[in-house]
Amino acid sequence: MATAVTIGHLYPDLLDLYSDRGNVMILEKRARWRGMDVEVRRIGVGDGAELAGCDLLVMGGGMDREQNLVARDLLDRRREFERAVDEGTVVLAICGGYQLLGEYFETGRGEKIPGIGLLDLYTVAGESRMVGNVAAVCRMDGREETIFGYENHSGRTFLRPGTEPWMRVVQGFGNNGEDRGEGARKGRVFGTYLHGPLLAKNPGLADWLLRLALERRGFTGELPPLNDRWEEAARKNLEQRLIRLKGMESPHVGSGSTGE
Amino acid sequence: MDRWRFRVAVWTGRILSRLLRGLGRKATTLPGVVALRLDPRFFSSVGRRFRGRVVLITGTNGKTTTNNLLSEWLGRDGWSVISNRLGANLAQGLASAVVEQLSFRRRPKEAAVFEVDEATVAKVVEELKPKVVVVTNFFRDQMDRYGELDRVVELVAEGLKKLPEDGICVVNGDDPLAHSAVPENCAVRFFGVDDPSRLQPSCREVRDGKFCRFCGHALAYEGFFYGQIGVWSCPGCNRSRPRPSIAARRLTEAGEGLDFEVEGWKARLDSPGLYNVYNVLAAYGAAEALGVSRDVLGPALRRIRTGLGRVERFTLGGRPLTLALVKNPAGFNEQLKVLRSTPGVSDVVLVLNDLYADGTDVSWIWDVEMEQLAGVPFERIWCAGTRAEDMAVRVRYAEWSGELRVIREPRDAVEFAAAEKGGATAGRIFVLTTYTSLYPLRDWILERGGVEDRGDGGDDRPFVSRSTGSV
Repeated sequence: MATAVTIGHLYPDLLDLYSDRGNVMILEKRARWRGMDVEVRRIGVGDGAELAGCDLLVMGGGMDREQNLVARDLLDRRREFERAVDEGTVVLAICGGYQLLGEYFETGRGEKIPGIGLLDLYTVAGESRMVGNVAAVCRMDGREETIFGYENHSGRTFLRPGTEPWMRVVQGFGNNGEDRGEGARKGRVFGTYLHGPLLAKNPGLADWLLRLALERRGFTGELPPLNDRWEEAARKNLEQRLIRLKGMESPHVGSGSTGE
Repeated sequence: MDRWRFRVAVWTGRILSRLLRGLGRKATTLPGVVALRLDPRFFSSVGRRFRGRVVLITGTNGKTTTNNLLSEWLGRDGWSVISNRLGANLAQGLASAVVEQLSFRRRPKEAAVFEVDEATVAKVVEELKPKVVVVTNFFRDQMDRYGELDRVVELVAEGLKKLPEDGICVVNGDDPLAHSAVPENCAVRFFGVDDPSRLQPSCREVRDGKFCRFCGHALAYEGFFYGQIGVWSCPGCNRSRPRPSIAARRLTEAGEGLDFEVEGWKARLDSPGLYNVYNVLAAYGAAEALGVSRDVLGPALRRIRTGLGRVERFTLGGRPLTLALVKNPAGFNEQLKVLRSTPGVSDVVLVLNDLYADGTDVSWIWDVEMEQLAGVPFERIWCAGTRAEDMAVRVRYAEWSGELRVIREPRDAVEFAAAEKGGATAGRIFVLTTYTSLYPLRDWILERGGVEDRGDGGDDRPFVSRSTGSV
């Protein structure tokens, strides 16, 4: 399969919390293991790297300070972003990156940090953190699959009417701990709070996103299967472990009372 | 009144501690909880008793090793030391150590040395009034428990601001994050490595503190020692890595250890990790600040052993075995470097647990530069622990080409590895484990095997062992 694929890694230096770089690594290797030529383009604040030409854009989460730096750059790139999506680029944003794709993030002091509005949603800072393992059901081309990940966020995200959550939470908090929705999807733009990294234990999802991105290149076939036996074993193990851990989730990190 | 309360608290805690130990429990928390309940000013009394002789050690990695080195050196100099050497480092852990070890008879040379959780420093510093606070380093660590690293650094910085006037900070100046925690107008001594030949031009590892905490500018580097530790400067506000006043120079590999110089003294470490050089410098700086004579410190440096569970060597079933703790990406990366430089390793056992003390979020293993395993010729990697399969997935993506096996129970994995006769090399077994399996594995290995004799005539028998249920 002599296909080529270009993955844009957005703000790898600033948004690199919670092992989100793993998602890029996983997409890259799963493409490479199938004989594709892969280019990974690092896109940083203020540099000239272009979003155009990327089949997939991946964005992680960061600490508050780093996220503010990114927010400004992202606004400058808004047009470029929209054009890329119109041309068929797939976007995957995790946690802080997910929040920045929305309309705004409202901090505890009522300050509104604007996002780029690629997804019709907004986020409000919460008092406590939502931390723990997550199992959620995700729909991909008519079939449903359980997605395993880990969440750690204080922001509560609310979707505007007409915007669909990406997944439905079976265990965990999800977008806001209220409506069982997790993440959001609009066309080829996906956002979620799940890290782990997200794609590590969900190879089906990784391949599905890869396949979607390859459509931009006119690829319509099936991806040849890989041997995912460790991933399958990890999913089975976590499924059982989640049943055992139910009700014993780790205590909230809540500000100031760390470690005790 | 105060003194009376304090004594009641100590005695009650001590009786409770003995009862618990009699029941086979480790008693590193509950006696302290009770003592602090009985005497809310408990730490003030401890601070008064040890005025000018209290040392707190904080930071992400190296607390326990620094604490153990310092306590050992003080002991050599004839000090009697109370310390939480087993690493129970929250307020109740400190109090438990006091309850158990405090002697009411004052000694001419006595000190209280505690390793302290980063979030606990600010809570105890005003009462304990430490003479010395050591800050080792800051790395991302168990974010499910600690939250963001920026916040952790802030918490320690808040603690350092409350240091008494005669207090002194002993800080890793090569770490821009540790450096940034030091308040202005504070007496401080910086330690660091002063050996340009050790500097790497770039850092492939996931790196924390890339941006100046004061002006937000990206930091510039002359070179890296490991992680973000290196010779750094900020082009934005002109802060820069201070010239270390406690420096390690002329580092050279010596067998499976490291030779170097500290303040003109020859030092030899029994393990090759550069991070341990920093622990030695931290302990040296604290000891000097307490007034330990150089005549004692010099000879102590000639043969330095890193403690309990921090790269220890054993034998099991006739095979040499190395056991080390890994709990965050920075520490794991350093252990992988040690592993790569250790000759004759045939089996690697990686234990990944997700209990509370390990961190329930195992995604940190993706920040480990596992790719450095590719091309290293071990025969087998065994993944074990409650999240063994997650580790197997990580190893898969590192494209390591040997045989990968998953066995849930860590002991079974080590036992099978030891029983493995196949292949060209039945060599050393190298075990890296997260916290909750460290001491159970260690006790089990000691029971079944022995401590490796390295022919240097020293007694390697560790000074204490924790019971299997000590988690």
